[in-house]
Amino acid sequence: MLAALHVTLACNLRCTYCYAGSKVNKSMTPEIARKSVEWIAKSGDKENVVTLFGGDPLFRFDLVKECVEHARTLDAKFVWRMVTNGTLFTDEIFDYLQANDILFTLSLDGDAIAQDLERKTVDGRGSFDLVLKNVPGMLRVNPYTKINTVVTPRTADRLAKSVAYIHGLGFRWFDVSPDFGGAWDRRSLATLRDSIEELARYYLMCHRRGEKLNLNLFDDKIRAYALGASAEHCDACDAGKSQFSVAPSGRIYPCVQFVKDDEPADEKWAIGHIDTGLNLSKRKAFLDVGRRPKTECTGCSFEGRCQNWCVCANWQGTGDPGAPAPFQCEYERMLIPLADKVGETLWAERNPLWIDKIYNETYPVLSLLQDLKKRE
Amino acid sequence: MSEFNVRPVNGYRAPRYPAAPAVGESPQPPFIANRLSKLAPLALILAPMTASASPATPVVTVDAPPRESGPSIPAAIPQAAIDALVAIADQDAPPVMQGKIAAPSRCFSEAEVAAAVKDVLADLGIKTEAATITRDGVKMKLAALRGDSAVAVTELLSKPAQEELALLRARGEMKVLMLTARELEYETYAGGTGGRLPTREIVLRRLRAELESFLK
Repeated sequence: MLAALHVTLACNLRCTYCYAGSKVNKSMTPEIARKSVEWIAKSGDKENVVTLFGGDPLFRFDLVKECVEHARTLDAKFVWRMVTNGTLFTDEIFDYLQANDILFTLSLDGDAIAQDLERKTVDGRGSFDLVLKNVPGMLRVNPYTKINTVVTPRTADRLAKSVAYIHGLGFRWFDVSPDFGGAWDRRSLATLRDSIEELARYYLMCHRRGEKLNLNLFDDKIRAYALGASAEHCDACDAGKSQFSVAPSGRIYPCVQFVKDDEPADEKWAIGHIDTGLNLSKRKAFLDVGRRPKTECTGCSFEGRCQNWCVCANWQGTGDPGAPAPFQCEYERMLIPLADKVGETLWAERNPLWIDKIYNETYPVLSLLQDLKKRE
Repeated sequence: MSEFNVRPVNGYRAPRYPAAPAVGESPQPPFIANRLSKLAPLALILAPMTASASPATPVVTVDAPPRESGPSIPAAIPQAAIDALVAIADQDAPPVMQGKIAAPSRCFSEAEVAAAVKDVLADLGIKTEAATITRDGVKMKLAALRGDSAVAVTELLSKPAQEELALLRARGEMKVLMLTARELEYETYAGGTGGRLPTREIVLRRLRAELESFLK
Protein backbone atom coordinates (compact mmCIF):
# COMPACT_ATOMS: atom_id res chain seq x y z
CA MET A 1 0.00 0.00 0.00
CA LEU A 2 1.04 3.54 -0.65
CA ALA A 3 -0.28 5.80 2.07
CA ALA A 4 0.15 9.35 3.24
CA LEU A 5 -0.41 10.14 6.89
CA HIS A 6 -1.45 13.74 7.41
CA VAL A 7 -0.30 13.84 11.00
CA THR A 8 -1.11 17.55 11.10
CA LEU A 9 -2.61 20.15 8.82
CA ALA A 10 -0.66 22.91 10.55
CA CYS A 11 2.19 24.58 8.72
CA ASN A 12 4.46 27.52 9.36
CA LEU A 13 4.42 28.55 5.69
CA ARG A 14 1.67 30.04 3.57
CA CYS A 15 2.64 29.10 0.04
CA THR A 16 0.48 30.86 -2.49
CA TYR A 17 -0.38 27.76 -4.50
CA CYS A 18 -0.77 25.26 -1.69
CA TYR A 19 -3.62 22.83 -2.24
CA ALA A 20 -3.68 21.65 1.36
CA GLY A 21 -6.54 23.68 2.78
CA SER A 22 -6.27 26.69 5.06
CA LYS A 23 -3.57 25.32 7.38
CA VAL A 24 -5.89 24.90 10.32
CA ASN A 25 -4.17 23.83 13.48
CA LYS A 26 -5.61 20.36 13.38
CA SER A 27 -3.58 17.24 14.09
CA MET A 28 -4.09 13.57 14.64
CA THR A 29 -4.50 12.49 18.20
CA PRO A 30 -1.89 9.94 19.25
CA GLU A 31 -4.68 7.36 19.22
CA ILE A 32 -5.66 8.16 15.63
CA ALA A 33 -2.01 8.11 14.62
CA ARG A 34 -1.63 4.62 16.03
CA LYS A 35 -4.89 3.40 14.56
CA SER A 36 -3.92 4.78 11.16
CA VAL A 37 -0.72 2.81 11.23
CA GLU A 38 -2.65 -0.29 12.27
CA TRP A 39 -5.10 0.19 9.41
CA ILE A 40 -2.20 0.33 6.95
CA ALA A 41 -0.62 -2.74 8.49
CA LYS A 42 -3.82 -4.66 7.89
CA SER A 43 -3.42 -4.22 4.14
CA GLY A 44 -1.46 -7.45 4.15
CA ASP A 45 0.87 -6.02 1.52
CA LYS A 46 4.44 -7.21 1.54
CA GLU A 47 5.56 -3.64 2.03
CA ASN A 48 3.80 -0.43 2.95
CA VAL A 49 5.35 2.78 1.73
CA VAL A 50 4.08 5.49 4.04
CA THR A 51 4.70 9.18 3.54
CA LEU A 52 4.46 11.45 6.56
CA PHE A 53 2.62 14.45 5.28
CA GLY A 54 1.07 17.72 6.40
CA GLY A 55 0.79 20.66 6.67
CA ASP A 56 4.35 20.06 7.62
CA PRO A 57 4.80 16.82 9.53
CA LEU A 58 7.73 18.25 11.48
CA PHE A 59 5.31 20.68 13.07
CA ARG A 60 4.25 17.64 15.09
CA PHE A 61 7.43 15.63 15.34
CA ASP A 62 5.94 13.87 18.37
CA LEU A 63 3.32 12.33 16.07
CA VAL A 64 5.93 11.34 13.53
CA LYS A 65 7.65 9.38 16.27
CA GLU A 66 4.34 7.98 17.49
CA CYS A 67 3.65 6.51 14.04
CA VAL A 68 7.12 5.11 13.50
CA GLU A 69 7.45 3.62 16.98
CA HIS A 70 4.01 2.05 16.85
CA ALA A 71 4.63 0.55 13.43
CA ARG A 72 7.60 -1.24 14.89
CA THR A 73 5.29 -3.20 17.18
CA LEU A 74 3.19 -4.50 14.28
CA ASP A 75 3.70 -7.48 12.04
CA ALA A 76 4.09 -5.55 8.80
CA LYS A 77 6.88 -3.95 6.85
CA PHE A 78 6.92 -0.15 6.65
CA VAL A 79 9.08 2.03 4.46
CA TRP A 80 8.95 5.62 5.69
CA ARG A 81 9.03 8.77 3.64
CA MET A 82 8.31 12.36 4.48
CA VAL A 83 7.54 15.54 2.61
CA THR A 84 8.69 18.69 4.34
CA ASN A 85 9.26 22.38 3.70
CA GLY A 86 12.70 22.01 5.28
CA THR A 87 12.42 24.86 7.77
CA LEU A 88 11.89 22.93 10.99
CA PHE A 89 14.83 20.56 11.11
CA THR A 90 16.89 20.23 14.26
CA ASP A 91 19.84 17.99 15.01
CA GLU A 92 17.55 15.74 17.00
CA ILE A 93 15.24 15.39 14.02
CA PHE A 94 18.09 14.68 11.63
CA ASP A 95 19.40 11.98 13.94
CA TYR A 96 15.98 10.41 14.29
CA LEU A 97 15.32 10.40 10.55
CA GLN A 98 18.66 8.83 9.87
CA ALA A 99 18.32 6.23 12.60
CA ASN A 100 14.89 5.21 11.35
CA ASP A 101 15.54 5.28 7.60
CA ILE A 102 12.99 8.02 7.02
CA LEU A 103 13.84 9.48 3.65
CA PHE A 104 12.38 12.84 2.80
CA THR A 105 11.49 15.07 -0.09
CA LEU A 106 12.11 18.78 0.23
CA SER A 107 9.68 21.33 -1.18
CA LEU A 108 11.87 24.11 -2.53
CA ASP A 109 11.05 26.39 -5.41
CA GLY A 110 14.46 27.69 -6.26
CA ASP A 111 16.76 30.51 -5.41
CA ALA A 112 15.84 33.21 -2.92
CA ILE A 113 13.84 35.20 -5.46
CA ALA A 114 11.58 32.34 -6.53
CA GLN A 115 11.29 30.80 -3.08
CA ASP A 116 10.49 34.01 -1.25
CA LEU A 117 7.98 35.08 -3.84
CA GLU A 118 5.67 32.10 -3.39
CA ARG A 119 6.70 30.38 -0.16
CA LYS A 120 6.34 32.83 2.69
CA THR A 121 6.11 32.33 6.42
CA VAL A 122 2.94 32.97 8.40
CA ASP A 123 4.11 36.52 9.08
CA GLY A 124 4.83 37.18 5.41
CA ARG A 125 8.61 36.83 5.35
CA GLY A 126 10.48 34.76 2.80
CA SER A 127 11.37 31.23 3.84
CA PHE A 128 14.53 30.80 1.79
CA ASP A 129 17.01 31.46 4.58
CA LEU A 130 15.16 29.12 6.92
CA VAL A 131 15.63 26.29 4.44
CA LEU A 132 19.16 27.14 3.38
CA LYS A 133 20.58 26.78 6.87
CA ASN A 134 19.40 23.16 6.92
CA VAL A 135 20.81 22.12 3.54
CA PRO A 136 24.06 20.62 4.85
CA GLY A 137 22.15 18.51 7.36
CA MET A 138 19.70 17.32 4.75
CA LEU A 139 22.41 16.24 2.36
CA ARG A 140 24.28 14.56 5.19
CA VAL A 141 21.44 12.30 6.25
CA ASN A 142 19.79 11.93 2.85
CA PRO A 143 22.29 12.57 0.05
CA TYR A 144 19.71 11.92 -2.60
CA THR A 145 17.05 14.18 -1.17
CA LYS A 146 14.47 14.78 -3.83
CA ILE A 147 13.44 18.36 -4.52
CA ASN A 148 9.82 19.18 -5.26
CA THR A 149 9.68 22.43 -7.18
CA VAL A 150 6.45 24.11 -8.14
CA VAL A 151 6.62 26.66 -10.90
CA THR A 152 3.99 29.35 -11.09
CA PRO A 153 3.27 32.04 -13.70
CA ARG A 154 5.25 34.45 -11.49
CA THR A 155 8.31 32.22 -11.20
CA ALA A 156 8.24 30.72 -14.69
CA ASP A 157 11.06 32.95 -15.90
CA ARG A 158 13.35 31.75 -13.11
CA LEU A 159 12.90 28.00 -13.47
CA ALA A 160 16.22 27.23 -15.14
CA LYS A 161 18.13 29.50 -12.78
CA SER A 162 16.37 27.95 -9.82
CA VAL A 163 17.12 24.36 -10.78
CA ALA A 164 20.72 25.25 -11.54
CA TYR A 165 21.02 26.99 -8.18
CA ILE A 166 19.61 24.06 -6.21
CA HIS A 167 21.72 21.66 -8.25
CA GLY A 168 24.71 23.73 -7.26
CA LEU A 169 23.83 23.24 -3.60
CA GLY A 170 24.36 19.51 -4.10
CA PHE A 171 20.88 18.17 -4.79
CA ARG A 172 20.59 15.78 -7.70
CA TRP A 173 16.96 14.71 -8.01
CA PHE A 174 14.24 17.08 -9.09
CA ASP A 175 10.52 16.76 -9.47
CA VAL A 176 9.32 19.96 -11.10
CA SER A 177 5.68 20.58 -11.83
CA PRO A 178 3.66 23.61 -12.74
CA ASP A 179 1.01 24.90 -10.41
CA PHE A 180 -1.88 23.26 -12.19
CA GLY A 181 -4.33 25.52 -10.40
CA GLY A 182 -2.39 28.67 -11.32
CA ALA A 183 -3.55 31.57 -13.47
CA TRP A 184 -1.66 30.53 -16.58
CA ASP A 185 -2.19 32.32 -19.86
CA ARG A 186 -0.47 32.10 -23.23
CA ARG A 187 2.13 34.67 -22.28
CA SER A 188 3.20 32.97 -19.06
CA LEU A 189 3.17 29.59 -20.78
CA ALA A 190 5.50 31.00 -23.44
CA THR A 191 7.77 32.22 -20.66
CA LEU A 192 7.71 28.76 -19.15
CA ARG A 193 8.62 27.27 -22.50
CA ASP A 194 11.62 29.60 -22.79
CA SER A 195 12.72 28.58 -19.29
CA ILE A 196 12.39 24.88 -20.06
CA GLU A 197 14.46 25.35 -23.21
CA GLU A 198 17.10 27.09 -21.09
CA LEU A 199 16.86 24.23 -18.64
CA ALA A 200 17.36 21.78 -21.51
CA ARG A 201 20.64 23.47 -22.34
CA TYR A 202 21.72 23.18 -18.72
CA TYR A 203 20.65 19.51 -18.64
CA LEU A 204 22.69 18.78 -21.78
CA MET A 205 25.71 20.56 -20.37
CA CYS A 206 25.54 18.60 -17.13
CA HIS A 207 25.32 15.27 -18.92
CA ARG A 208 28.17 16.12 -21.23
CA ARG A 209 30.28 16.95 -18.18
CA GLY A 210 29.22 13.76 -16.45
CA GLU A 211 27.41 15.70 -13.72
CA LYS A 212 24.33 13.93 -12.45
CA LEU A 213 21.07 15.77 -12.84
CA ASN A 214 17.84 13.82 -12.59
CA LEU A 215 14.99 15.94 -13.76
CA ASN A 216 11.51 14.55 -14.12
CA LEU A 217 10.58 17.07 -16.82
CA PHE A 218 12.80 15.27 -19.30
CA ASP A 219 13.62 11.94 -17.66
CA ASP A 220 10.04 10.83 -17.08
CA LYS A 221 8.84 11.77 -20.54
CA ILE A 222 11.78 10.04 -22.16
CA ARG A 223 11.49 6.97 -19.98
CA ALA A 224 7.79 6.68 -20.67
CA TYR A 225 8.71 6.20 -24.30
CA ALA A 226 12.00 4.36 -23.90
CA LEU A 227 10.88 1.89 -21.28
CA GLY A 228 7.23 1.69 -22.04
CA ALA A 229 6.69 2.98 -18.52
CA SER A 230 3.38 4.30 -19.72
CA ALA A 231 2.02 0.84 -19.25
CA GLU A 232 2.21 1.45 -15.53
CA HIS A 233 0.52 4.80 -15.59
CA CYS A 234 -1.66 5.35 -18.58
CA ASP A 235 -4.93 4.07 -17.11
CA ALA A 236 -4.94 6.17 -13.98
CA CYS A 237 -2.87 6.86 -10.95
CA ASP A 238 -3.26 4.62 -7.94
CA ALA A 239 -5.30 7.17 -5.99
CA GLY A 240 -8.09 5.35 -4.24
CA LYS A 241 -6.92 2.02 -5.60
CA SER A 242 -3.75 1.19 -3.73
CA GLN A 243 -2.87 4.69 -2.59
CA PHE A 244 -4.63 6.49 0.24
CA SER A 245 -4.35 9.55 2.44
CA VAL A 246 -5.34 9.42 6.08
CA ALA A 247 -6.43 12.77 7.53
CA PRO A 248 -6.26 13.96 11.15
CA SER A 249 -9.89 12.93 11.69
CA GLY A 250 -9.13 9.41 10.53
CA ARG A 251 -11.00 9.90 7.28
CA ILE A 252 -9.43 8.18 4.32
CA TYR A 253 -9.11 10.13 1.08
CA PRO A 254 -7.89 8.91 -2.32
CA CYS A 255 -4.92 11.27 -2.49
CA VAL A 256 -3.26 14.08 -0.58
CA GLN A 257 -4.94 16.88 -2.49
CA PHE A 258 -8.45 15.84 -1.47
CA VAL A 259 -7.86 16.20 2.27
CA LYS A 260 -8.14 20.01 2.34
CA ASP A 261 -9.26 21.09 5.84
CA ASP A 262 -10.63 17.63 6.61
CA GLU A 263 -13.97 19.13 7.54
CA PRO A 264 -17.37 17.53 7.01
CA ALA A 265 -17.60 19.66 3.85
CA ASP A 266 -14.58 17.79 2.48
CA GLU A 267 -16.14 14.44 3.24
CA LYS A 268 -17.54 14.32 -0.27
CA TRP A 269 -14.19 12.96 -1.37
CA ALA A 270 -13.56 10.70 1.61
CA ILE A 271 -13.69 7.02 0.74
CA GLY A 272 -13.55 5.58 4.22
CA HIS A 273 -12.46 5.95 7.81
CA ILE A 274 -9.81 4.08 9.76
CA ASP A 275 -12.48 2.92 12.22
CA THR A 276 -14.72 1.41 9.58
CA GLY A 277 -12.33 0.79 6.70
CA LEU A 278 -12.93 1.65 3.08
CA ASN A 279 -16.40 2.52 1.94
CA LEU A 280 -16.40 0.32 -1.12
CA SER A 281 -19.23 2.03 -2.94
CA LYS A 282 -17.69 5.50 -2.50
CA ARG A 283 -14.34 4.15 -3.52
CA LYS A 284 -15.79 2.54 -6.63
CA ALA A 285 -17.61 5.75 -7.50
CA PHE A 286 -14.33 7.67 -7.24
CA LEU A 287 -12.43 5.15 -9.32
CA ASP A 288 -15.18 5.13 -11.92
CA VAL A 289 -14.92 8.89 -12.27
CA GLY A 290 -11.13 9.09 -12.20
CA ARG A 291 -10.50 6.17 -14.51
CA ARG A 292 -13.18 6.72 -17.08
CA PRO A 293 -11.94 6.79 -20.68
CA LYS A 294 -10.50 10.11 -21.76
CA THR A 295 -12.47 10.45 -24.95
CA GLU A 296 -11.09 13.95 -25.50
CA CYS A 297 -7.67 12.34 -25.89
CA THR A 298 -8.60 9.60 -28.34
CA GLY A 299 -5.94 9.10 -30.95
CA CYS A 300 -3.43 11.45 -29.31
CA SER A 301 0.18 10.59 -30.06
CA PHE A 302 1.09 11.46 -26.49
CA GLU A 303 -1.29 9.00 -24.90
CA GLY A 304 0.65 7.16 -22.23
CA ARG A 305 3.28 9.88 -21.92
CA CYS A 306 0.92 12.59 -20.80
CA GLN A 307 -0.28 12.79 -17.22
CA ASN A 308 -3.92 13.01 -18.11
CA TRP A 309 -4.35 10.16 -15.64
CA CYS A 310 -3.53 12.38 -12.63
CA VAL A 311 -6.82 12.83 -10.83
CA CYS A 312 -5.41 15.66 -8.72
CA ALA A 313 -4.18 17.73 -11.67
CA ASN A 314 -7.48 17.11 -13.45
CA TRP A 315 -9.43 18.06 -10.37
CA GLN A 316 -7.44 21.25 -9.90
CA GLY A 317 -7.87 22.21 -13.52
CA THR A 318 -11.47 21.24 -14.14
CA GLY A 319 -13.07 20.32 -10.83
CA ASP A 320 -13.56 16.83 -12.23
CA PRO A 321 -10.94 14.16 -11.39
CA GLY A 322 -11.65 12.36 -14.63
CA ALA A 323 -11.57 15.28 -17.05
CA PRO A 324 -8.21 16.20 -18.60
CA ALA A 325 -7.34 19.79 -17.80
CA PRO A 326 -6.86 22.22 -20.71
CA PHE A 327 -3.71 23.77 -19.25
CA GLN A 328 -2.23 20.35 -18.61
CA CYS A 329 -2.86 19.38 -22.21
CA GLU A 330 -1.23 22.56 -23.49
CA TYR A 331 1.70 22.04 -21.15
CA GLU A 332 2.23 18.42 -22.20
CA ARG A 333 2.09 19.36 -25.87
CA MET A 334 4.84 21.86 -25.19
CA LEU A 335 6.96 19.67 -22.91
CA ILE A 336 7.07 16.28 -24.63
CA PRO A 337 8.67 17.47 -27.89
CA LEU A 338 11.27 19.39 -25.87
CA ALA A 339 12.05 16.28 -23.84
CA ASP A 340 12.39 14.22 -27.02
CA LYS A 341 14.78 16.75 -28.49
CA VAL A 342 16.97 16.41 -25.41
CA GLY A 343 16.76 12.61 -25.56
CA GLU A 344 17.61 12.49 -29.24
CA THR A 345 20.62 14.73 -28.72
CA LEU A 346 22.06 12.66 -25.90
CA TRP A 347 21.32 9.38 -27.66
CA ALA A 348 23.02 10.64 -30.81
CA GLU A 349 26.05 11.43 -28.65
CA ARG A 350 25.73 8.03 -26.93
CA ASN A 351 26.07 9.87 -23.64
CA PRO A 352 26.91 7.13 -21.13
CA LEU A 353 25.48 8.88 -18.09
CA TRP A 354 22.17 9.51 -19.78
CA ILE A 355 21.95 5.99 -21.22
CA ASP A 356 22.66 4.51 -17.84
CA LYS A 357 20.07 6.68 -16.16
CA ILE A 358 17.32 6.04 -18.67
CA TYR A 359 17.79 2.37 -19.46
CA ASN A 360 19.29 0.85 -16.32
CA GLU A 361 16.71 0.04 -13.70
CA THR A 362 19.35 -0.18 -11.01
CA TYR A 363 20.78 3.25 -11.77
CA PRO A 364 19.68 4.92 -8.51
CA VAL A 365 21.44 2.32 -6.39
CA LEU A 366 24.57 2.07 -8.50
CA SER A 367 24.73 5.83 -8.82
CA LEU A 368 24.62 6.28 -5.07
CA LEU A 369 27.36 3.72 -4.59
CA GLN A 370 29.47 5.53 -7.12
CA ASP A 371 28.92 8.84 -5.37
CA LEU A 372 29.76 7.41 -1.98
CA LYS A 373 33.03 6.08 -3.29
CA LYS A 374 33.84 9.44 -4.84
CA ARG A 375 33.15 11.18 -1.56
CA GLU A 376 35.77 9.21 0.28
CA MET B 1 -12.41 30.49 -18.35
CA SER B 2 -9.22 28.88 -19.58
CA GLU B 3 -7.82 30.08 -22.86
CA PHE B 4 -6.46 26.58 -23.44
CA ASN B 5 -8.15 23.56 -24.93
CA VAL B 6 -7.79 19.82 -24.76
CA ARG B 7 -6.97 18.54 -28.21
CA PRO B 8 -5.19 15.38 -29.33
CA VAL B 9 -1.87 15.56 -31.15
CA ASN B 10 -1.91 13.64 -34.40
CA GLY B 11 0.96 12.26 -36.41
CA TYR B 12 3.77 13.02 -33.99
CA ARG B 13 6.87 11.26 -35.25
CA ALA B 14 8.59 8.72 -33.03
CA PRO B 15 11.56 10.04 -31.08
CA ARG B 16 14.97 9.02 -32.40
CA TYR B 17 16.14 7.10 -29.39
CA PRO B 18 15.48 3.43 -28.65
CA ALA B 19 12.12 2.43 -27.38
CA ALA B 20 10.46 -0.62 -26.04
CA PRO B 21 7.92 -2.17 -28.35
CA ALA B 22 4.51 -3.01 -27.04
CA VAL B 23 4.30 -6.03 -24.80
CA GLY B 24 4.03 -9.17 -26.86
CA GLU B 25 5.80 -7.73 -29.87
CA SER B 26 8.93 -9.43 -31.03
CA PRO B 27 11.77 -9.03 -30.52
CA GLN B 28 11.66 -7.99 -26.91
CA PRO B 29 14.33 -5.40 -26.28
CA PRO B 30 16.41 -5.59 -23.17
CA PHE B 31 14.94 -2.47 -21.70
CA ILE B 32 11.73 -4.03 -20.58
CA ALA B 33 13.44 -6.79 -18.72
CA ASN B 34 11.91 -5.43 -15.55
CA ARG B 35 8.70 -7.04 -16.66
CA LEU B 36 10.48 -10.37 -16.54
CA SER B 37 11.53 -9.97 -12.96
CA LYS B 38 10.80 -13.57 -12.08
CA LEU B 39 13.90 -14.57 -13.99
CA ALA B 40 17.09 -14.83 -12.06
CA PRO B 41 20.23 -12.81 -12.57
CA LEU B 42 23.36 -14.48 -13.80
CA ALA B 43 26.71 -13.81 -12.31
CA LEU B 44 30.27 -14.63 -13.09
CA ILE B 45 32.37 -15.20 -10.04
CA LEU B 46 36.07 -15.51 -9.57
CA ALA B 47 36.48 -16.94 -6.14
CA PRO B 48 39.62 -18.05 -4.33
CA MET B 49 39.08 -21.69 -3.40
CA THR B 50 41.15 -21.45 -0.27
CA ALA B 51 39.05 -18.86 1.42
CA SER B 52 38.13 -19.60 4.96
CA ALA B 53 35.46 -18.30 7.19
CA SER B 54 36.27 -14.84 8.45
CA PRO B 55 34.67 -12.32 10.76
CA ALA B 56 31.21 -11.29 9.84
CA THR B 57 30.83 -8.14 7.85
CA PRO B 58 27.66 -6.50 6.64
CA VAL B 59 25.48 -8.51 4.37
CA VAL B 60 24.25 -6.39 1.55
CA THR B 61 21.13 -7.03 -0.35
CA VAL B 62 19.88 -4.10 -2.27
CA ASP B 63 16.37 -4.56 -3.46
CA ALA B 64 14.97 -2.50 -6.26
CA PRO B 65 13.54 0.66 -4.77
CA PRO B 66 9.79 0.62 -4.25
CA ARG B 67 8.06 2.98 -6.57
CA GLU B 68 6.22 5.99 -5.35
CA SER B 69 5.13 8.11 -8.23
CA GLY B 70 7.33 7.38 -11.15
CA PRO B 71 10.63 5.89 -12.06
CA SER B 72 12.87 8.47 -10.40
CA ILE B 73 12.72 7.31 -6.84
CA PRO B 74 16.16 7.78 -5.41
CA ALA B 75 14.78 8.33 -1.96
CA ALA B 76 13.90 4.68 -1.72
CA ILE B 77 17.39 3.45 -1.02
CA PRO B 78 17.36 2.08 2.50
CA GLN B 79 19.77 3.76 4.85
CA ALA B 80 20.89 0.36 6.07
CA ALA B 81 21.96 -0.51 2.54
CA ILE B 82 23.84 2.74 2.23
CA ASP B 83 25.63 2.10 5.50
CA ALA B 84 26.53 -1.39 4.43
CA LEU B 85 27.84 -0.20 1.10
CA VAL B 86 29.95 2.40 2.80
CA ALA B 87 31.26 -0.24 5.15
CA ILE B 88 32.31 -2.34 2.20
CA ALA B 89 33.93 0.59 0.48
CA ASP B 90 35.86 1.14 3.71
CA GLN B 91 37.23 -2.36 3.50
CA ASP B 92 38.70 -1.66 0.11
CA ALA B 93 36.81 -4.63 -1.20
CA PRO B 94 35.56 -4.80 -4.76
CA PRO B 95 32.50 -2.65 -5.16
CA VAL B 96 29.28 -4.45 -4.88
CA MET B 97 27.33 -4.01 -8.04
CA GLN B 98 24.33 -6.02 -7.14
CA GLY B 99 20.93 -4.70 -7.81
CA LYS B 100 17.77 -6.38 -8.74
CA ILE B 101 18.62 -7.04 -12.32
CA ALA B 102 16.61 -9.43 -14.36
CA ALA B 103 18.02 -11.46 -17.16
CA PRO B 104 15.77 -11.97 -20.12
CA SER B 105 16.27 -15.64 -20.78
CA ARG B 106 15.28 -15.40 -24.40
CA CYS B 107 18.56 -13.65 -25.06
CA PHE B 108 20.79 -16.39 -23.88
CA SER B 109 20.63 -19.23 -21.47
CA GLU B 110 22.90 -20.14 -18.63
CA ALA B 111 24.28 -22.94 -20.79
CA GLU B 112 25.18 -20.45 -23.48
CA VAL B 113 26.89 -18.21 -20.95
CA ALA B 114 28.78 -21.22 -19.64
CA ALA B 115 29.84 -22.19 -23.15
CA ALA B 116 31.04 -18.67 -23.88
CA VAL B 117 32.96 -18.57 -20.62
CA LYS B 118 34.52 -21.93 -21.38
CA ASP B 119 35.64 -20.74 -24.81
CA VAL B 120 37.21 -17.61 -23.44
CA LEU B 121 38.99 -19.50 -20.71
CA ALA B 122 40.32 -21.97 -23.24
CA ASP B 123 41.62 -19.10 -25.33
CA LEU B 124 43.36 -17.82 -22.23
CA GLY B 125 44.92 -21.21 -21.61
CA ILE B 126 42.92 -21.93 -18.51
CA LYS B 127 41.83 -25.47 -17.96
CA THR B 128 38.14 -25.88 -17.38
CA GLU B 129 36.08 -28.56 -15.84
CA ALA B 130 32.40 -28.94 -16.18
CA ALA B 131 31.20 -29.36 -12.65
CA THR B 132 28.63 -28.33 -10.19
CA ILE B 133 30.09 -27.12 -6.95
CA THR B 134 28.52 -25.62 -3.93
CA ARG B 135 30.42 -23.08 -2.01
CA ASP B 136 29.02 -21.51 1.11
CA GLY B 137 25.53 -22.00 -0.14
CA VAL B 138 26.13 -20.63 -3.58
CA LYS B 139 25.63 -23.19 -6.26
CA MET B 140 28.00 -22.85 -9.16
CA LYS B 141 27.41 -24.89 -12.23
CA LEU B 142 30.55 -24.46 -14.26
CA ALA B 143 33.84 -24.38 -12.51
CA ALA B 144 37.06 -23.44 -14.18
CA LEU B 145 40.12 -23.90 -12.06
CA ARG B 146 43.17 -21.70 -12.16
CA GLY B 147 45.60 -21.97 -9.32
CA ASP B 148 43.72 -21.18 -6.22
CA SER B 149 40.82 -19.62 -8.01
CA ALA B 150 37.68 -20.75 -9.67
CA VAL B 151 35.59 -19.16 -12.28
CA ALA B 152 32.02 -20.12 -11.98
CA VAL B 153 28.85 -19.22 -13.66
CA THR B 154 26.09 -19.18 -11.20
CA GLU B 155 22.45 -18.56 -11.32
CA LEU B 156 21.41 -16.93 -8.12
CA LEU B 157 18.07 -18.43 -7.60
CA SER B 158 17.42 -17.94 -3.95
CA LYS B 159 17.64 -14.97 -1.67
CA PRO B 160 19.79 -16.88 0.85
CA ALA B 161 22.22 -17.68 -1.93
CA GLN B 162 22.36 -14.04 -2.93
CA GLU B 163 22.98 -13.05 0.66
CA GLU B 164 25.72 -15.63 0.90
CA LEU B 165 27.38 -14.24 -2.15
CA ALA B 166 27.11 -10.74 -0.79
CA LEU B 167 28.74 -11.90 2.42
CA LEU B 168 31.61 -13.50 0.57
CA ARG B 169 32.16 -10.35 -1.38
CA ALA B 170 31.86 -8.24 1.72
CA ARG B 171 34.67 -10.22 3.30
CA GLY B 172 36.79 -9.37 0.32
CA GLU B 173 37.42 -13.02 -0.33
CA MET B 174 36.38 -13.01 -3.89
CA LYS B 175 36.53 -10.78 -6.85
CA VAL B 176 33.19 -10.68 -8.48
CA LEU B 177 32.28 -9.73 -11.96
CA MET B 178 28.56 -9.58 -11.95
CA LEU B 179 27.12 -9.20 -15.36
CA THR B 180 23.64 -9.86 -16.43
CA ALA B 181 22.22 -10.49 -19.79
CA ARG B 182 20.38 -7.24 -19.53
CA GLU B 183 23.44 -5.21 -18.66
CA LEU B 184 25.34 -6.74 -21.50
CA GLU B 185 22.57 -6.01 -23.87
CA TYR B 186 22.06 -2.42 -23.07
CA GLU B 187 25.75 -1.75 -22.92
CA THR B 188 26.15 -3.37 -26.27
CA TYR B 189 23.23 -1.43 -27.57
CA ALA B 190 24.67 1.79 -26.24
CA GLY B 191 28.01 0.82 -27.67
CA GLY B 192 26.91 1.40 -31.21
CA THR B 193 24.85 -1.15 -33.02
CA GLY B 194 23.31 1.61 -35.03
CA GLY B 195 20.09 1.61 -33.11
CA ARG B 196 19.40 -2.03 -33.93
CA LEU B 197 18.69 -4.55 -31.28
CA PRO B 198 21.85 -6.44 -30.47
CA THR B 199 21.99 -9.95 -31.78
CA ARG B 200 22.83 -12.85 -29.58
CA GLU B 201 26.27 -13.02 -31.18
CA ILE B 202 26.99 -9.41 -30.35
CA VAL B 203 25.95 -9.93 -26.76
CA LEU B 204 28.09 -13.02 -26.37
CA ARG B 205 31.03 -11.27 -28.00
CA ARG B 206 30.69 -8.55 -25.41
CA LEU B 207 30.57 -11.15 -22.69
CA ARG B 208 33.84 -12.59 -23.92
CA ALA B 209 35.42 -9.16 -23.92
CA GLU B 210 34.27 -8.48 -20.38
CA LEU B 211 35.56 -11.81 -19.15
CA GLU B 212 38.90 -11.46 -20.85
CA SER B 213 39.35 -8.06 -19.34
CA PHE B 214 38.30 -9.35 -15.93
CA LEU B 215 40.74 -12.25 -15.93
CA LYS B 216 43.77 -10.31 -17.05
